[in-house]
Amino acid sequence: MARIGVFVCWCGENIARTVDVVKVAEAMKSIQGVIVSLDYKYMCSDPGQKIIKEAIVNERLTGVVVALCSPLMHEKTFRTAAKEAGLNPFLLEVANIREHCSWVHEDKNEGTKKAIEITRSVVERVKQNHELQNITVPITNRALVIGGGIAGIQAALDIANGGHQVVMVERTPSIGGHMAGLSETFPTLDCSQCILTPRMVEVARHPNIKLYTYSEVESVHGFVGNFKVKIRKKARSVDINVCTGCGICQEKCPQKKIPSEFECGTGFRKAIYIPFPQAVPNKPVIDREHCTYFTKGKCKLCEKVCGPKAIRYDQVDEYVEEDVGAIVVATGYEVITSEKFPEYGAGRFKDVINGLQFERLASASGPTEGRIVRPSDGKEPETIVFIACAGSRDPAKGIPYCSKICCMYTAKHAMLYRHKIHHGKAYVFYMDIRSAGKGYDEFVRRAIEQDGALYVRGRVSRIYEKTVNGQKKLIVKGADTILNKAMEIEADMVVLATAVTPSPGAAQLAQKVGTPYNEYEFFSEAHPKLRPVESNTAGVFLAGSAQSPKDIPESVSDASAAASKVQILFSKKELERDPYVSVVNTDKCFGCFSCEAVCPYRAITREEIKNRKGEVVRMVAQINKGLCQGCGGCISICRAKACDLIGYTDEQIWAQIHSYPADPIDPTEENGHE
Amino acid sequence: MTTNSNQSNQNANINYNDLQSEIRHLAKDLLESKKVRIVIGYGSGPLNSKPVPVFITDANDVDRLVYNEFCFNNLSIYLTKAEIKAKAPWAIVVKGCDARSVIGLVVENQIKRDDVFTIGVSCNGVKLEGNTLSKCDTCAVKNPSNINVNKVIGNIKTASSTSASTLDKELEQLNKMSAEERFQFWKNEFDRCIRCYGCRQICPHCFCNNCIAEKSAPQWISTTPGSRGNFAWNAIRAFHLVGRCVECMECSRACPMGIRLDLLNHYLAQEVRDSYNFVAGMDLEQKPPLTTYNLKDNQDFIK
Repeated sequence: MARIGVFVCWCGENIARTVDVVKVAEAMKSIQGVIVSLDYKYMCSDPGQKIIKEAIVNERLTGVVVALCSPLMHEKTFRTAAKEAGLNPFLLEVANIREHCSWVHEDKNEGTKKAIEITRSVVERVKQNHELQNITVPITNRALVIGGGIAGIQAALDIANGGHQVVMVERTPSIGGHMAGLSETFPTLDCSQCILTPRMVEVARHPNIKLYTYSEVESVHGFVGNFKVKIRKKARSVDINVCTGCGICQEKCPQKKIPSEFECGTGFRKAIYIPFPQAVPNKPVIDREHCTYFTKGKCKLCEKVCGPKAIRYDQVDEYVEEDVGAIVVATGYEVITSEKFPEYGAGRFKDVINGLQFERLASASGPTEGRIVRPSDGKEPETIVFIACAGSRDPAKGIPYCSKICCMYTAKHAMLYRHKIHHGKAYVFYMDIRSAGKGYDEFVRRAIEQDGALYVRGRVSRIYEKTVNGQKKLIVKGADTILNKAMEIEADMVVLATAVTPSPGAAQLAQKVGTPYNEYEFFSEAHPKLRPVESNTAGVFLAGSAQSPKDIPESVSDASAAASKVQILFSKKELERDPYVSVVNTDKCFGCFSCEAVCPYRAITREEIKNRKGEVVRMVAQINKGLCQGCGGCISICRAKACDLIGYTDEQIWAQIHSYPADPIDPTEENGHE
Repeated sequence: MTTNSNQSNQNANINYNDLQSEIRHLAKDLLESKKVRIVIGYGSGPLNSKPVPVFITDANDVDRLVYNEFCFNNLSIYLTKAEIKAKAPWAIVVKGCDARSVIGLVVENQIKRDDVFTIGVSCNGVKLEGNTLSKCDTCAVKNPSNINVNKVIGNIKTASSTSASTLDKELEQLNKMSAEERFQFWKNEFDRCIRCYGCRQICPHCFCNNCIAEKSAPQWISTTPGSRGNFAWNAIRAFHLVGRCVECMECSRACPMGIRLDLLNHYLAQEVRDSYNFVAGMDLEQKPPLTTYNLKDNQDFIK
């Protein structure tokens, strides 16, 4: 006979404001099997928990229902309390009367009614509960880092220095990410490459890091502690174990006019190329789309000049599988291109560039060796206009969020320009200046006050080309909203601080990893304040701009935080997890294996049922408890109802549904309520 | 059951005697060479217009096999029966529609493809009580050579009709109704159900040995004939057949209350075709769409 205790919480005013908790506790007393039912101001407090523990012992309770906030908040708290009082923790269930009831209703009468129904349904459910034990699964102490930008590099180094193996996958031919292409970094104006490249080299040399460049994650299966990752090593057409990185192939390649990805289109590269001189690994790759041999069938010049004979035209994509226990997603960002701005010429004006392109022009390693010149004619711009918030904070462009880094880098750009072209005029159009951060506001003030950047609060409505005194100029039409007047500037060059978006393919990767992303395809964190570097998928962590636009310091601290989370996970040999897994009733299973097809965790295996003679009579589904995550996919696809979810059995759900009053929609129904 | 007599004249082109003797010949070969242990086919019944299933195990008995325009039964139902299963390998006489059932059973791991030898008979529509069945209107497998069968018998060449079938027309009418009217339509249909489960018993794809209708703890579907339980039963069975039903329409033939299961199944088959570009039982390699998951799946329905 069930002996159930019900404990209803006021949550201060949170629940009691819209739910008459005393009435709820009273109503529960009339349910068969309920031995105690009472209310308390704060159940989660120590005295509150004590009430429950004492009742469990004194009343010999076989089940407990706590009616309060979401189980996400306190289920663990109360289950631990139950365990301490000697009750199997899975005999305690939470009835959510806060998020599901008091917070979403205003009428106290209706709220109370609903709270009673919710709590009653959980009481009926608990009567069907069984004692359960946690499942333990081993952990693979090896991490996968997706993305080789600064965030990925930092995470990989921290985990590797912590003594764990790391597999790093980078999509492009070299690690380094966007940071490798930046000129100088705010707010200290450190040379970006000077601070980054030692870390890139460290990654390559680290005994604990296995590096896959020019590779992509193909699929991810498994679960926390036990992921199986398939990696596609794209055909590089060069055997990097043989290649010495001498660069002669690159020198001799006849294809010269391919816009360089690393230079953001401001410079060119060859068809066989090392993306930049400090690339890691410093080995070339053949761009098959542009290579003369691959497009026309002859050339092979690189093969001829290659001393160690490292060119492999017949190389194909290779697949490797790695076992890892945790995943750090550090896939970074991209910026939208000027084509998205018809009002600014939609990419037709050569001298309207974006921030990343400006970085290359200002960089000593860039195509102009650090001279800031107009892409159209190579002349120094006398007047330059920077436009912040190009696309960002603009719902019309579909990007209502702030790209965060632009205020700072635009100030830096204006500063760099003024350092290099002393007589030039640098205008900055801005909406607000967002320079929160250590030394950030001082940096912007310095750009304005010391370096004479001309800040104009307002937006630019239009840019068009016009020839003035025989010179091509960009006419920038905008408004100064502080002086409340229209502005027209004859500029030589315009730099758009275009909006930051997630790396292309972020959503597809999120689907492969099985972790949520938001409407802009940035990866979602588990909790914006308290769990900022964890995703909602156990064992998957986030670092850097994959999550939202971030600057370098933030990305680095994210990465270290994610690395620390990974190491917390790796500090245990085994992982304990809740027992909510599916089971198959092999008598009912008729072996259609639809469950196998729908199972996202590959937890279903085929088992033979043999007769006494040892002959196989039929095949049935079996579930690997280590892999099953209790999603219930198999249960809904199983037509024979052979699958059931422990902890959420049909019996439990049925009892819960049944506790609700008879269907009010069709009272004339002849069967009534079964 | 809705029937259509437009096409009955065309059947005259088929020489059933030839088909029959070819089937007998093949059956004899298969049994004598011990390639199969049983040949499942049609035999003569008490009425010429109602052939009955026969199971031939002896090569000398092949003359009991008949074939005519009244061979409407879908014999693939027997392939999942324990008695027959124990006697694999088998040969089975199938029309195009029945062959699709066999493919469906293989896809769903109920039988092994190598265990069954399908004798695919060309068919220009079968007759029940003098009328060609409505399902034959838009049949795309009149000549089963375009799907996986071991041997094709007969060689009719008829393109499937492009004009809308009776079922399609009825479906169109149904779709014109308001949601309430349509609900009432189906309620009226299901209200007649006496829960004999004939539809389930005759369906080759209702192969669960424990049907959800008989689940008792908890009992999801009320077993008493009444609106609630009837609706639940018929709706759940329809859902269970989505993307799997090959529209052999045996259920609607078996239904003693004349419930429009043919229309219901046709409706679902259309939905699956429109949403997933999938037709059940046409391809050994393709799983029913509701049991597969693909990143490229149509996700338009997510609002």
